[in-house]
Amino acid sequence: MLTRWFYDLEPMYDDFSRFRNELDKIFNIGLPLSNIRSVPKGTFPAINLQEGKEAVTVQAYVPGVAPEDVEVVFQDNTLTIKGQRDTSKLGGQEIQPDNCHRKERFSGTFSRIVSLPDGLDSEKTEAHYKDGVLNITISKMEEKKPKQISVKVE
Amino acid sequence: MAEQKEKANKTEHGNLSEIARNSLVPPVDIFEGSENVTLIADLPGTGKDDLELQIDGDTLQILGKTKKSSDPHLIKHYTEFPEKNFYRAFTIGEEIDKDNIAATMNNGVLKLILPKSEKIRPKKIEIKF
Repeated sequence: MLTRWFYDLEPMYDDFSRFRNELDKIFNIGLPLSNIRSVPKGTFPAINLQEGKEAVTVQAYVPGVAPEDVEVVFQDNTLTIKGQRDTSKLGGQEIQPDNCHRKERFSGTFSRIVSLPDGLDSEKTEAHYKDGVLNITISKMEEKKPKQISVKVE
Repeated sequence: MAEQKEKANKTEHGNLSEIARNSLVPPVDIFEGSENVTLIADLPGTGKDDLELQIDGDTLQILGKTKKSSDPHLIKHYTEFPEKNFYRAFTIGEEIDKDNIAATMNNGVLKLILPKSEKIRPKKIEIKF
C-alpha cells in the first residue's frame, strides 16, 4: 500500500526532494560531506587533492584558461596556482557584450594556495593540461614511500 | 497518469529528474548579438567525445560526462569538485534556427552559436521617395 502510494507520488516527491536539496545547498546544510571540502560558491578554480602511494596529485579545474596563463609554484609544501581568465574572449575572438543575458562564469585573476602533505620531492613534479583540467603530480621522496616488509618464515 | 508523466520524463540517459539531481550545473554566459545568440558553458574534464547536445522540441540539453578516477587506493584529501556529470537544459523558442546551431569545444569550454531565425532578425525597411 505504502509503496504504491509512493510510486504514484514519485514525480511530485522528486520535485519536493529537489527543492529541499536546493535549499540545503543555499544554507550549506550537510556540507562538508566527509572528504568534500566546502568552499564558498564561486571559488575558482576548484581543486581536488589525492594522495597515492608514490605521489600526490592535484587537479585544478581551470576551463578556458590557456596553459601559458597559469603559474604553478611548489615551495615549502605549499602549491600555488595562479593565473587569469578573461571571459570576454574565446579563441582570441572578442565577444561583444552588447546584450548579455547571463554572466555566471568567472572572469579575472585567480590565486589559490594549497598546503600539501610532508615528504614531497620538489624535483619530481609534472603538470598536464587537458580539457580544462590541470593535473599536477608531485612524487614523494624515496624514503617517504611505503615499503613492504617481507616476512620470513623461520 | 503518473506513468504517463514518468514516460515523458524518461530520456535515453534515464530519468530526467534523476539526472538533474545527480549532476553538476555548469555556469554559462549568454550573449545576444544581432545575428545570433552565443552560449558559453564551463565543462572542465569533458572532452569533445564526452559531450552530448540534444534538441528536443524547444529544449536544448547539454550533458557532459566526466571521467572517473580509476585508482581506488587514492586517499582523497579533499574534493571540491565532485566527479559528477554535467547537465543543464535551456528552453529555446522559435527565435532560434534550430537546424544551424554550431558547437565548438575547446579546453573544457563549450561554445554554442545559436543563429536567430529569419523572421525575428531586424529588417531594414527601405524608404522610397
